[in-house]
Amino acid sequence: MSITISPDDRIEVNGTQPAADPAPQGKNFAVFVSRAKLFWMLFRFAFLTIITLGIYRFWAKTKLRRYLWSTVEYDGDRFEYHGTAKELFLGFLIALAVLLPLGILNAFLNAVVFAEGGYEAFAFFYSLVFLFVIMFLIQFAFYRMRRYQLTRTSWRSVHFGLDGSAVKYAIMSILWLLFTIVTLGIAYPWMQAWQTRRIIDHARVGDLSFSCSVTGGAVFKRFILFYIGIFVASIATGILGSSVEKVGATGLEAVLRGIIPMFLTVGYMVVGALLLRISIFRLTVNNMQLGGHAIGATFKSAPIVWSAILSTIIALVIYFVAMAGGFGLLALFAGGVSALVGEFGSDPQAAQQVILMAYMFILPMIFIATLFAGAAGMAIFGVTVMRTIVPGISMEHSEKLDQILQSENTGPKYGEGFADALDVGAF
Amino acid sequence: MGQARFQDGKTTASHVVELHWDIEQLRIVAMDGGAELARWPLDQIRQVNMPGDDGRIRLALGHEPGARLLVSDSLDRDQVLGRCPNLAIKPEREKGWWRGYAFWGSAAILSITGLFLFVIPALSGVIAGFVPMEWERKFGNTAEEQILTGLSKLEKKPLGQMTCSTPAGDQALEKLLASLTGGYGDRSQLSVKVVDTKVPNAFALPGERILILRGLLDLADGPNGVAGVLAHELGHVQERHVMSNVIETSATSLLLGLVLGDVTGGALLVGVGETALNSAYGRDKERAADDYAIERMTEAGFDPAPLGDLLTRLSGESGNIDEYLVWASSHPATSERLAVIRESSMGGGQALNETEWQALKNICNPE
Repeated sequence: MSITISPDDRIEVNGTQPAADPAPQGKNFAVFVSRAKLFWMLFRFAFLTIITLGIYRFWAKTKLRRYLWSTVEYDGDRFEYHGTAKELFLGFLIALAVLLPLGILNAFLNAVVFAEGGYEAFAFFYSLVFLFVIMFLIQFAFYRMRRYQLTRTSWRSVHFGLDGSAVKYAIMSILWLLFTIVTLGIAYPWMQAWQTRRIIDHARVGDLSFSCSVTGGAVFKRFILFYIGIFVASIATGILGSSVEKVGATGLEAVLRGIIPMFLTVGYMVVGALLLRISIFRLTVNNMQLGGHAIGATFKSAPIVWSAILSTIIALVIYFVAMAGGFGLLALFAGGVSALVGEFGSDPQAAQQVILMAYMFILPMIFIATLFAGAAGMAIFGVTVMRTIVPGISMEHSEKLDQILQSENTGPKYGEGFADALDVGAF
Repeated sequence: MGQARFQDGKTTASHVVELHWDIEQLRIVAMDGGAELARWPLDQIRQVNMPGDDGRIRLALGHEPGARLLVSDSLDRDQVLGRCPNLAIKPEREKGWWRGYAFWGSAAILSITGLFLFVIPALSGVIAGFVPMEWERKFGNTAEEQILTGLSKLEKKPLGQMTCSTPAGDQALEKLLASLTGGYGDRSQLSVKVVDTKVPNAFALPGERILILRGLLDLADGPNGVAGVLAHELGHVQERHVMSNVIETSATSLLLGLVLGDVTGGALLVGVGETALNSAYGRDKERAADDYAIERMTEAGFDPAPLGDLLTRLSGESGNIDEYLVWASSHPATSERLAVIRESSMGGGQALNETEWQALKNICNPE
């Protein structure tokens, strides 16, 4: 049960990676995350977030990060997360107060542009400008989010940080985006490499800087492999699918010949996209240094891929079992009620109301089962990802790592508001 | 006097230290060289362990991020627990901690309410006015087709036989329209159709289209109730309410997504919020359409009171038809509405004479 030859692993075996030392000297990171604990946290947080109309999400995020950070260890010491829910919540309020007027302005200008005939060129120009404002905000928000997260992280009492200007990052990103559009997407890997380098090169622990030398060319190679994979899978699907007509297959055989290859292609696309992400992440880590100490990644992709598949299946099974159970219960109940009503010959409308009440009882059960399934899937996958990746990362060790100085820059006061509102970034 | 680790908040050095417990303070002394690294007053020592921590007691001075003392030795643990009185005390709130919440909270609430209550309804109306009539007509065509198809399935009748027309019935309808569209302007594009179904309802669709369902005619006992419903729907058409509804719906779902965030079940919340907001917007439009109807009826010299009677009847008439199909489900006979209609009634004549009314009532039963 393992994918031994994934497209990205092949590259590393070929040795196009100078930094990919198979066994770097140094100390490995370690992780002590518990699946049960994470599951209950996710489940509780999802529930609380929903019943508080989303407000609890800032507390949930903070608590989750505090837990996850503190399960990761380097050289005998855990990481600490110092962010507070208040910072996130205020950041969100600020974003609302600022973003919404922006939206109003846009709607108003739109109305004007709509209103006046003969301004087609202006309307086009205007919508272009608005698009760029949104793109700018998204990139800006992403940089600020990373800055917030890093300044709230410490190891051995020394805080991380991210210098550099979020505005510059956003402007440069937009230029890259334009270039990517002009080159019909070919430049995308170079854009991604530039963005990664830009952030990592400005990141630091105390006074010790990170650096990253990942190149667009190396990222491009991984993309190409991914596309070749999809291309081959699609061709195979096409050939198998067209054989349905040739053989004149009908019924089950036609379904099998037609649908299974399609399913496999889609599956490959999903798995391939995951493999691509893992592979680019590994490439990035392998090209990172912290104040001259090389960082290396040797983790495998296979456990992550299998866990993604398995956790999806488990979550779906839990969900469907709960649904079937819930509706089965409802059907039984409804049957019982109508039998009773038949016996006593009472009002059918009253029976309907009783069934409606049963619905009110069973729907929350199904709702909770859905949260349960989601939390279970996320806990299964998340823990596997951490247990695979974290111990697979190592960093050269020297006395310098014991002499990193705390930096004065304490970072932004509020966190992530724009990123939250614009839906940037992961959790 | 066991061993512990001390990280001073200035560098990443992890000093191996000895702990000296004095009466009032803890002295942290390096094992290597014996230098005193810090003195911590016992009452200011806090425990700052994290949920996934490694089993050592994690201590800090006060609540600020800064130096950490990690205690694993069991003797020192006992000292910590026995001597430090304020280990678990939560940080006191700073003075004025609430100001940020208050300021940005009210700014955000102001911004959201302003948007939902004023800007979206106002702008969607304005924008709806600028949607090219041609788009709206296409949209209305599709909507009408969908509704007719749905009803033809319900009635198990071919689609072609769904709309009703008799010469006398058409004439009566035209007379009603002519008297109700005084201030309407160009009505060459206005289309009013009677649909042959038992469902008692009427719709205004985009592109100046109105559908009156036969069930409504069956229920009315005089022409003025029907005239009132027709005038009400004309109000929706005149104000382009349907188009602005479409714009409002998309705007609210976009904004609610922004406010509630992308969380598990977020889509559910957005759905609920959307329904609530849209029905609030809907009420305003219904009121506007009622006003329009009363105005037109009065202007034409018809008594609007029967509209109220028809509404009351419709509310009682859900009966064996799916409730959401009935006009009353989207136009409830609230006491407020009925009162408005009743008060506005200053008497007045019948919209159609008896012959015309019978012709309209039987528009779906050609002899």
